[in-house]
Amino acid sequence: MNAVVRRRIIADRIARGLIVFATVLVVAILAWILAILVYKGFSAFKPTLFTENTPPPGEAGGLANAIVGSLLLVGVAMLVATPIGILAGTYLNEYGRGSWLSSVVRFVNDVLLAKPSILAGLFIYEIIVAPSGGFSGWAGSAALAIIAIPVVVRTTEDMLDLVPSSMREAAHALGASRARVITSVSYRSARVGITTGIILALARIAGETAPLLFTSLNNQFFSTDMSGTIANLPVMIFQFAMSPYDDWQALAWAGALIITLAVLALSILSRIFQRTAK
Amino acid sequence: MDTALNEPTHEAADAVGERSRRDIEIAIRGLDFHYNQHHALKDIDLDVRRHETTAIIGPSGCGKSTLLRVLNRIYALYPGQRATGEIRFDGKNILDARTDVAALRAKVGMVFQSPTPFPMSVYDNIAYGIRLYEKLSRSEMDGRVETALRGAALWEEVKDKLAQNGQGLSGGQQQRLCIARAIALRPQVLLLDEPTSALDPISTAKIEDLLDNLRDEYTIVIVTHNMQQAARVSQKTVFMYLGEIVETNATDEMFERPKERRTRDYITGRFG
Repeated sequence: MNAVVRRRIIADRIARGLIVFATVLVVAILAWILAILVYKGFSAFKPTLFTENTPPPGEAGGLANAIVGSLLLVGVAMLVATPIGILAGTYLNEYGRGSWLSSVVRFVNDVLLAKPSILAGLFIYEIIVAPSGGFSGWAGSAALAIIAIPVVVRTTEDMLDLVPSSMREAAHALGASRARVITSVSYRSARVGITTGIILALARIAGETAPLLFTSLNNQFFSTDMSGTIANLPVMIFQFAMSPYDDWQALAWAGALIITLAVLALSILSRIFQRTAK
Repeated sequence: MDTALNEPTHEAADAVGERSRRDIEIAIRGLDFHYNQHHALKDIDLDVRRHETTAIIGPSGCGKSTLLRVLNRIYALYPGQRATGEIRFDGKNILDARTDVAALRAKVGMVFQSPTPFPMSVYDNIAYGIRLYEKLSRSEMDGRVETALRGAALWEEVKDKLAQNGQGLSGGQQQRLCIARAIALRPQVLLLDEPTSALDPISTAKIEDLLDNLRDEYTIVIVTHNMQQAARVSQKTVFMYLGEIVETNATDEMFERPKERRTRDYITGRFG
């Protein structure tokens, strides 16, 4: 075996070793986090989590108010973010191709995608919370929507971009109007990808804490009134985990486990969705 | 007496002129096409005869697809593409800004290089175009779908899977589905842009057979890279080079006795 071949084999082994090491490291860290979460979370897991509200220190209770509050905040945020995101993504790919406006919008969207989420909270604090004189669920949903919109815009644009232009041309060649082509052919072809984007955006905002600290805050009691403060899992976790009380800390772990399982369920849902669509 | 003698002759001459005029489905005169600054078609004159297959051949980039894409104004989807001149079809110049492109495209169907079934059932693929123009009862629609699929020699293969996704068919079936979708609108003209270049030889043979039958009802213009295909399916061949028509002739003439040197060089494989 000559020297060149031997050197290649050695280089190959080193590269492979590094790749395997990096993979094991990433998976191990993730497994470690999940193991602690499951261990701590499950020990605090009981059916009353879903029926009772967050208790004062030293008393038994659950997370019902925080779970319902989170669902409400995230649900309203997605109701706002989904149509705006899809329409903007549609503009970028179907109408604005090559125009300066779409380049600007795309750039701004990328910046929004990468911004720290606490900025969304501060921004909504400035324009909604401060002027309206108080924290509210609406403000919380607005902050979450601001985080979700760029995700939906981006995936919608990317997924529409994957629709072959020959398919659009084929629909136009039958005499279909542009709006008809978009709704009946482009959206149909890209629907799996766009739906996945929406699910991922939902998963992204479900665990956001920072933007809610300045907007919806938290509420010890059960409330579905979006014009007042409203309980939610991330801020509850933040407060309870920082507290000196063991039972509050246990609830924080249980809440973290619930969010993680919910996000996991959403990811699995999007996978199943992708697979059945094929 | 004189007039009595002259008149029939006159009428006969008129009738001949009238007949040949009626035989021409599309008359292209002085057509120029620009992609932004690029002059892609230069002063094209061409008559496409009714119920005949016209093949357009030429090396890549010669403008043959561009010429096809002018005939249903599909180029107009893209800013920066512009056609000038006259294309007379159905008594009107289709390049006229007032042309109703949807109505034009209903009469001039198009099939693309790679099959483009929509992400919906076989049935809905065919019904898609019809629904753009007509509101039919379920049974009328069933009839139209069946007729279109039979016309594209696909009915026997898909009659039991009309509800299946059209994208699940084989490549050759998909392309015949696209032909069925186009003829479902009962067009006068079918434009085919290298319809078999993505298909295997057996599927190609099926489509070529089909084209032979479709000629009875439709005027066909086909762009092809494959000269044997042009020779097999067409009655008239147009050879294009660098945006110009070099030679137009009856297909057998063209392949046996090309008039132009460049045509001969191309069809004998010296360039292209």
